[in-house]
Amino acid sequence: MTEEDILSKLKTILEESLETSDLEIGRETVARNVDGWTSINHLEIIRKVEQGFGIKIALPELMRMKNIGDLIDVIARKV
Amino acid sequence: MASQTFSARITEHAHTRRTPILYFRRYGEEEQSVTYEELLAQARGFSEHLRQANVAKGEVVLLFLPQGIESISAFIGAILHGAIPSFMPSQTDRQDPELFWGTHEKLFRKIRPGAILTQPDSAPRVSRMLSDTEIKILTNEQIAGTNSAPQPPVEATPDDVLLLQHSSGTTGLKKGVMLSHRAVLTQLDLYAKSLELSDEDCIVSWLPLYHDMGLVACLLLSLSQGTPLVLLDPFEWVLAPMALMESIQDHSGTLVWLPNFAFNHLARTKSGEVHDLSSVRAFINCSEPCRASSFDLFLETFRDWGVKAEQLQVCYAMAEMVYAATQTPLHKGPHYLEVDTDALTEGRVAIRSDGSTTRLVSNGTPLPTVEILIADSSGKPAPPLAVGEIYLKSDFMFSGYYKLEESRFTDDGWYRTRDMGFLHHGELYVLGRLDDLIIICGKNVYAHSIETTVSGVDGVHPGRVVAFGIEDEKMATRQLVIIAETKLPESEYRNLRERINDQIVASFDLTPHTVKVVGPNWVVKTTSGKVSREANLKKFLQVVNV
Repeated sequence: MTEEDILSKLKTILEESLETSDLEIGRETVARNVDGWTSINHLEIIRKVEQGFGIKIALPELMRMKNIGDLIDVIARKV
Repeated sequence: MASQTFSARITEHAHTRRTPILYFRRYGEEEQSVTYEELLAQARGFSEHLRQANVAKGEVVLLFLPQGIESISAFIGAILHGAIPSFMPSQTDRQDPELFWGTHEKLFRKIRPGAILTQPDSAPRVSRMLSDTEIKILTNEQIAGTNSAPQPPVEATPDDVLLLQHSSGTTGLKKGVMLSHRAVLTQLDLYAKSLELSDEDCIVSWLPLYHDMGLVACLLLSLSQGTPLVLLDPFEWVLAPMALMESIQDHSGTLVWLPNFAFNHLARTKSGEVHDLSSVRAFINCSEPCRASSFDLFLETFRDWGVKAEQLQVCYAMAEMVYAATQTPLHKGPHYLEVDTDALTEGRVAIRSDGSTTRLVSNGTPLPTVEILIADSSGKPAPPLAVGEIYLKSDFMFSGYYKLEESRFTDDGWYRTRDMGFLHHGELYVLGRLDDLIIICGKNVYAHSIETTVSGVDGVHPGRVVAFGIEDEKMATRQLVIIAETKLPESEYRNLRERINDQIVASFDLTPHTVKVVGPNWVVKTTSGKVSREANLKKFLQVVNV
């Protein structure tokens, strides 16, 4: 998958999770700047990302992630 | 008779209890554990460091350290030195350091602590910020290097202030609740009896130590009663909630305190292998209104891991009472009361089981020495089955707010909680707040405090900001919504929204659910020129269709 493909699929998963249809995200986007994405539903959103891409993200990787770009890089390494 | 000061109490335990009292678990690392004697040895090193740094008895020591045995040793070390420790939230990776420390500066200058203990990478910044003050900036690395012979503990009296428990809120407006040795030990000894604590007990907690539930119900109850505590890192727990269940199983945990949202968080994220939770005597729901639906979900989800209805308990607590004011009786499941929803919105309690009803969860009966009065708006006792403000009295009240004159006591000695509720058959039911306090995942924030903070963000039209909590049934808590007006062009809205988010995260360590930046004249004001939260909430729900 290209980075563009990952971003596109990620956007769809996030829109479904957050029940929105007009999400604007890029590599620099951080979770707290996305309406509805809070620290409490973060894990569930990540679980949906894992299911969507058929991967597992380990806790240390999760704790190191700062933005969407980091998430894309982790996905790219695993798909 | 048990010792009447905290330092004497734990020193006494050190003579008799040789097995570990504290365990700390972090992902990927070996579990750490310490006995009282080991903990005291580390604490004495810190105490000695405070002495060498000329921190005086009675001075406040603020601890900005990650959760762990080291931060607990520092806390006890400050007590042994006769100083007044206060756990503070340490800076996290998601918080901008400049904003985080900047937002605390007002608090530091107001309360003038004797010392601030932080990590080496933060110390230079804090030192520069406070270079014109006498406040000592110490690091945990310096303490590790302290090697001269520790001095005996500074003697304390039961009425000396043992610790400060800081409220949430704009850090400049944070209130330090002063708790004496006597108040803390009286509460904990009585609470231990209510919980029927025995040598078989073990507390398991992921709660942060700057929160009264983590500090008092877990850490101080453990240390004062000799009950082992298994502690997790709160930031890891949010991302790995099953670590709590694993720890319960590994240590045969018996007591677990959780805010309401955590019951749902655990249920929604259940995964992995089965963990046996049958050792637990009580999962105690506290710190935000307990929801019957959360208990239902938790029970249903974890029944096959050994959870039973009688394990589900509730307590009503606040820092000003040290901790618990009420507790549900053990060995029984939660007590629900079905009441008429319409009557409840009018402030009346009509018990019925048909039609439109609300299922309320009892917060239990008062602890010994606690008196409860339900007061009407004039402060007089409300009639039976009427909703009113909860007033409290007890033998373990706080000693006031540090360097603040504010008092919430009536002339006849009742503490006004600002919580609304009612009594039924001697049990307390807590319904909500009289003021603009929003409880989000067990964390208390005042709407006006959020509004003041956002008004200070560059680009926001000061005074034209509104904050409120909206119900989130799925998360079983409230969520923060902020609406901020600006005169900037729409192309700048996104950047402004990010600046607001950064400021809220730095000041409150809280992620708003929604930040809506709007143009001039969006925010509704009353005829007297005040921002109307009710009208703006209504407009937000209509316009945004949430």
